[in-house]
Amino acid sequence: MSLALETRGLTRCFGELRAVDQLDLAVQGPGVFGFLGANGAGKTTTIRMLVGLLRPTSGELRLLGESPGADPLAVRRRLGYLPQDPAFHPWMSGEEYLLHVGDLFGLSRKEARLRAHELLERCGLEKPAWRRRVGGWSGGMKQRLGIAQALMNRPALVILDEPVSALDPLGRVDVLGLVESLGREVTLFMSSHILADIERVCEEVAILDHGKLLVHEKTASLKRRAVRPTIECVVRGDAAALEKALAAAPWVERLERLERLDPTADDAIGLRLRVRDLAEAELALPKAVVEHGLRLVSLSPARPSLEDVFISLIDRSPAGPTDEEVGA
Amino acid sequence: MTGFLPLCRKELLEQLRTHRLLVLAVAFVLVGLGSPLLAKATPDLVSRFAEDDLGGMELVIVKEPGVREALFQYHKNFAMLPLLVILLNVGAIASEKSRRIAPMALVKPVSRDAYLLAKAAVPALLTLGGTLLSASGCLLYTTALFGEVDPAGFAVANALLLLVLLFYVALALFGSVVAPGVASAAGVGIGGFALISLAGAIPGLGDYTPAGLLSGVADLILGRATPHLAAAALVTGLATAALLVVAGRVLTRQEL
Repeated sequence: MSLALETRGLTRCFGELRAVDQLDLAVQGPGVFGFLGANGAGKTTTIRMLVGLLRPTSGELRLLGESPGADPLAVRRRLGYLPQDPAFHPWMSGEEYLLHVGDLFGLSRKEARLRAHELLERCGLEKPAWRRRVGGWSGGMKQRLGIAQALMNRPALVILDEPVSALDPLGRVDVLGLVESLGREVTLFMSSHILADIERVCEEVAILDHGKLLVHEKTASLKRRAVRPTIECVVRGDAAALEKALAAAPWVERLERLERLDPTADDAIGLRLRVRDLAEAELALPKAVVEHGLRLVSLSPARPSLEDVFISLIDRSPAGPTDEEVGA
Repeated sequence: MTGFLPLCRKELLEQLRTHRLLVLAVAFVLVGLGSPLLAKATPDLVSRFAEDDLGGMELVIVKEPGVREALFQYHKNFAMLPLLVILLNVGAIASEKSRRIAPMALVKPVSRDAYLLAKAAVPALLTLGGTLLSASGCLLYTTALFGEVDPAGFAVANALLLLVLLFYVALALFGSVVAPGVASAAGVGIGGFALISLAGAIPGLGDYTPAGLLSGVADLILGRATPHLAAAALVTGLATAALLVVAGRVLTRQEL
């Protein structure tokens, strides 16, 4: 089975700046693939090359097993694309825009209307808005229309550039739910700098930093592999002496206070410890707490989030990853 | 030319919704109907305005206006339409690029040539319709007010005027493709119009420019010799095609 998306040595320079540098990706569908990076990491430049709006300086890319350079229209018939800030003709209504897109894909008027209505509903756009001029729509509504237009042709591959960036929290939940359900049918390649969103819906992720690929792996295994073991504990009492002792302990790599604890628990203090060896820490930490005359309320190994992975990778690799980090 | 017809349908709808079609129709109708009326009324208007200012002297209109004057007036008024055509079309592509609307269309199964040609075909069609409307109005009123018009000569004059307008549509689209924004596209379009008007004044060479073609049509209407008319029409037609071809090449290579 051919890959849904593949790049080899994909590079794009703007003058001296290498916005995307030797990017190798291989995305197998169906499913949701997360393309993660801080602002300016090169995500949008990569996506614009994938959809043919920018020419690579060097390297190759294939979408749905085809090289877009050989037959761009054939590839685009099976491709859906949502840009970061979708823009529409302000004089058109949402329904009219989708009918126009259907027309571009060669759908009959009847077929396009049915599909347009289905997508407008599925993307959470209220019926009264369908026939109102898009010029008066909110950013969130335009984002939803952008997602609808990307799906008009029932694409095999959908490329979404920051699909939830303009949405409020409820809208994000809706759209991520939609993305998740679509991921069971087609391949979605979704960029974002919002780690929680990627973590929620993406089974596989690539992290980009300064145009370079830091990591490309299944989200779950990445979280297991790339983050040092971490313990969270809550103690009662004056923890200043304990914190000092822990900071000096050889098995502790990094210590920080947890900010969000139950506000009614006045003397409860949360600590998060990145440790060198989890087993050793699980034995040593309760002992240290008792030695300092404090009460241990809870102790649990922390579940690493994608945010931890991201920060860990970016922190450790300001000028690019080491071989160990990328798992090479 | 994949996507050409759907894009044409969208362009037509846009011309209608953004009232550009209405502006164009009103302008053409005013030129067509207003020109013979203005020619007819000119002697009266001149006499009335002059009555108080001649210090008792009598104003004598040596020649009463006729078909030729009406058609000449039509030509003079028509010669203002290139600027309108430029202003209406200069943002067609530039604004879609700067507002990021064009990339949304161009990642669909649409060739960039089809995109450009739809942008050219619809204004060309509307300009043709406008010219027919204008010419019909002028023919009707001139016949009613002054007498019969030579239909063949009038048809040739209008065909050449249409060719001049189509050249300026192509110039506006060229500006719209090569410029990064609407303001700079307007600069290319209006600057190009000014340069071509200046070039038309160059002795010898000017006769073969679109501005020279416009002057040639005036000579045709006035019954003067028009030795360079065919060559000027050929040059204008070729320049129109060349502008579109170059714009197409530039657009195909452009990164959006």
